[in-house]
Amino acid sequence: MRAEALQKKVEETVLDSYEAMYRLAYTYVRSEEDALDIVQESVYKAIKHSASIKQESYIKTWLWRIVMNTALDFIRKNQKEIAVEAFYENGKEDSYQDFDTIEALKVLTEKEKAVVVLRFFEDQKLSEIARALNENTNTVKTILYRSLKKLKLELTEGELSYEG
Amino acid sequence: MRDKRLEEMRQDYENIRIPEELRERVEAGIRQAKEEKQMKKKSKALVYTGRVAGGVVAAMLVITVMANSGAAIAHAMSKIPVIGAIAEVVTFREYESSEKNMEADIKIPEVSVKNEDGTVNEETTQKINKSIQEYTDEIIAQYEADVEAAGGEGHMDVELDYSVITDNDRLFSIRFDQLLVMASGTQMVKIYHIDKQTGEMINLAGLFKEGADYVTAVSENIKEQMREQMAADEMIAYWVDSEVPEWDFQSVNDDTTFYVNEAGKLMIVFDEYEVAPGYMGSVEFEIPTEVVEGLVQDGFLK
Repeated sequence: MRAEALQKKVEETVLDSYEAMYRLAYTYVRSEEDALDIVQESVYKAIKHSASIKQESYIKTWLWRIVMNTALDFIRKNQKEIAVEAFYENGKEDSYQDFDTIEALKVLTEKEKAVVVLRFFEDQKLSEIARALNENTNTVKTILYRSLKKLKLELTEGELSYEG
Repeated sequence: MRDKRLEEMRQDYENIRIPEELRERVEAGIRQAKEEKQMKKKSKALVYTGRVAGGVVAAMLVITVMANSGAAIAHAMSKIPVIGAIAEVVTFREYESSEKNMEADIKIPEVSVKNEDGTVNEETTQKINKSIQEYTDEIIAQYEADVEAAGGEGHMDVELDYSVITDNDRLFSIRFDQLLVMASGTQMVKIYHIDKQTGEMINLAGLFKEGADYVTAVSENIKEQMREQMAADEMIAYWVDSEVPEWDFQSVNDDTTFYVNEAGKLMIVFDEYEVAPGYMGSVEFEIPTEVVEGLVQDGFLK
């Protein structure tokens, strides 16, 4: 496929799925400002490096991967700023948004988070997730079960503490 | 597997509010990448760096004149008696435009280079002024194209000013600072150089002896500096040893942007996004002269 046609395809896919890209980024950083920065940078990288995609059918998973890497990069460099306390403060201000369940994702590692978000929220196939994460499908499956186990525990504890 | 709690979670995920700004930011990302790809296509190294969403952009142009071998170049205003050529800014023209909320103020200096005997060195004078004009024409053309595209309804402010930054025995450099304010933009740096001796434009390779492997020396030093800075401060990030090796900084090349600072050190300049995430902006590395000892031609660096 010619570079220009490929770039156009990437652009179309981006315009089609930028809201999903934003949500994924938001899950990681939980700040509108930061998620916007991550999306913009991810889009920039995707268009700029569109020539490096091997197959057209991989564009979507490739975009996930870029968003994840960009978000992780961002978190690594800004760890101090994304303190949990700051998040709670933001949560109160954004009264229209209920963070309780998404907040539960914080017990997961970055990779587990990606697997859960992509599988259950973005309805991606295990094989697609595997490609996005550069893992094999069995590993992704294992991560998924482990994540669910962790999550249920967290949710249960959360509920108990509310009732108590 | 789809239990109630997971459903609730999914609901919350879908309810994550999408800011109105998102679409705009996505388009800005696309535009930045495209502009940069476009720039890369031009054989002439035209560089400028980008700041996002309402940012202020500074671009820079340094034009360097190299003195004739052995001859001293000094600023005309200097009190020190000089032997050799003199380069000075003799006058400037100004391009001004104002269309509702779109404004431009671009100063275009004219440089004169004189020989030892006081006669004008026509060839070099013409070359340097032509280079400056090409650069400013490009900025003006871009501004005019933007005005037309926006039908005069856009918001944009372009200013270009200049100053003499280097004026020593071997180098005379004029730096151009471009201030570009608009809804979103890309900050870029453009630097090109003229060899007064040959009358040819030169690039980074022109500082070094023929066949000298300065690329490895300079690139490895930059990578070392990147690693050191990242280890010392977690707010600093470069694309080096990352999870996506194909995007990492590989090496400088003959056309990498550079200038020589006041201390006589070689400064390597990278565009925003070129070697680091966008929030790092445009970045510069000072190359210790020992690193290129034996490779660099005499008289350029200290």
